Amino acid sequence: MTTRLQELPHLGVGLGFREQLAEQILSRAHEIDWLELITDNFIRRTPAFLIRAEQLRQRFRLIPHGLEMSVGSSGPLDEEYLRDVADFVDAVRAPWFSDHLCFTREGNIELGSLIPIDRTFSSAVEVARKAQHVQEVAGRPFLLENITYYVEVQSDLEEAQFISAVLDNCECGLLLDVTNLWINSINHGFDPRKFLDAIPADRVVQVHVAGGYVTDEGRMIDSHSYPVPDEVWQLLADLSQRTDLRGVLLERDGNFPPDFGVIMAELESARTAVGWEKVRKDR
Amino acid sequence: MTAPMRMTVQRALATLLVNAAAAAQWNDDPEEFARQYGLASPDLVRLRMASVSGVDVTRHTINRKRMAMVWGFLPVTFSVLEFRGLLRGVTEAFLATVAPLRDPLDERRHAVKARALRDFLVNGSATKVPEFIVQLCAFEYMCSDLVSQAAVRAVGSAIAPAVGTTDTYITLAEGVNVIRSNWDFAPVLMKRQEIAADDPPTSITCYVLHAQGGRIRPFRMPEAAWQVLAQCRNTVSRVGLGALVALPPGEIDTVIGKSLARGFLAVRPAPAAPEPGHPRQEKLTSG
Repeated sequence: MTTRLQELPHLGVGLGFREQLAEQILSRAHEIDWLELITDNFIRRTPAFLIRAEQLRQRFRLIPHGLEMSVGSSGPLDEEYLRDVADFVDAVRAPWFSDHLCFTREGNIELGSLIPIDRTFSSAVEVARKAQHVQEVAGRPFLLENITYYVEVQSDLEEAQFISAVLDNCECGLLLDVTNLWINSINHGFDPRKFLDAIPADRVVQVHVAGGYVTDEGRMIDSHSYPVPDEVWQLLADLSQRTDLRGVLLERDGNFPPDFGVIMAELESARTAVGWEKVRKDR
Repeated sequence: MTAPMRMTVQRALATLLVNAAAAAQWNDDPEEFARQYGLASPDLVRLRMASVSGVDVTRHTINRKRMAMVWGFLPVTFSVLEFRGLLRGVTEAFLATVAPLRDPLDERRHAVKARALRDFLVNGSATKVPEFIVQLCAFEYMCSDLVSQAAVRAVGSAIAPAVGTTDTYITLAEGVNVIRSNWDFAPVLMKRQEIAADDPPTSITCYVLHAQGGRIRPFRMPEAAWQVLAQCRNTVSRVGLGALVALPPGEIDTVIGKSLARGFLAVRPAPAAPEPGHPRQEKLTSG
């Protein structure tokens, strides 16, 4: 039986594991509460990657975060991929795992990017059915993450309504990417706090924060390559007043600062925003 | 005439994002796009709400990620294309021509995507790409592909010992392939040496490529020996080789003996039935 969301452990503030940062991460392991691994970087790879994951597991709590479940595709789930993800989740003994509320393929077209789902009531029900199946196969809570999107078709539902409709029809949790929310609110012109009002905050288990940049055309891009902006910290603080978050995760994928202390300082900023002490690790 | 299957909004959006011709048609005449792809009128209205700039940004992201995977597999080819000012044109033509079809999500996905670019170049789909870059791409692809295959291969496939039968079946060993080019690419790849690209082809160079320890070791070899090994891309009998290669039997035996000793060839059990064997050579990769 899958663990109820309310029973999940409080992991604290973590960092997305990137091989480029591995040395610094390991050298300052005592300052990082947990790590998120990109599932697809470890499954269907050579055994060395599983050994790597096990090495990390001995130092950190690990949460797998996937890219290719594509719960929003109109076709069936890739059951073979799902089994491989479930095996990995099991291998690293993750309390939960996550992927995105989007589609990355459609029919025989592979997009390789996170594309927003056509937001209708019927698609919400179908996505929820698939997400519930994913959770049941893995036997652990499955979180869906809101994405940044730059294109959208005219839909029946606003994004917050769609997320709510999905969660109404399954028992999965929400990984709320606060940076994505903030960027979308700017690019598409809505109030991010009204968004928070509209979603079931008690289903938010984990949060992502990151920093992006603004293009010459004034569009915000979610690049995970700059410091987290103040507005995102404020949104995170607001969210933490609304629900009992189990984990906050800093994503940094590029433009790495020469001084790893800059990233460590961002973890402290996250702790400040949510009012947490550093989690004491017994491993 | 049958009507096209109905396309969903989501499928139509995916098509616009990866199919340059469809996107151009959409921009020129959305109604014609809808008619051709079977997009219902209400869905056409909904799709038209997608901003052109939003589609462009998303397409750019998709293409950037796609090419990044290929770049990692063919870094030297990309460097040469960039140095020659050809990279943008080639990638744009490639992305516009070759749709990203679903690939297995495994260790080999980069190879699959890189192979599409190699085939695109080898098939002459990209104009104004010098032949030496086409051959360099084929050479580099074979090197990277052998390393990739070696990484995923199960440890130590059992090799049947050579026994005293009247005939012996041989094939290229795992992690080994042969290639012939009009330029000597090995120094370019291994030592990042500059290539005198505008020079006419030097002379035909023949290589055995052997993936070992996550790296490629290239062994230059005489044309005659290369001819023998090239026939071993398929499983062939030692006796049968004599009919395939115009060399004296003693010379063939010498090449086979040395190649077995160096690990380029492996002895295989006799095929269960007469069959040509699965062609190891990917038809576009060697001369």
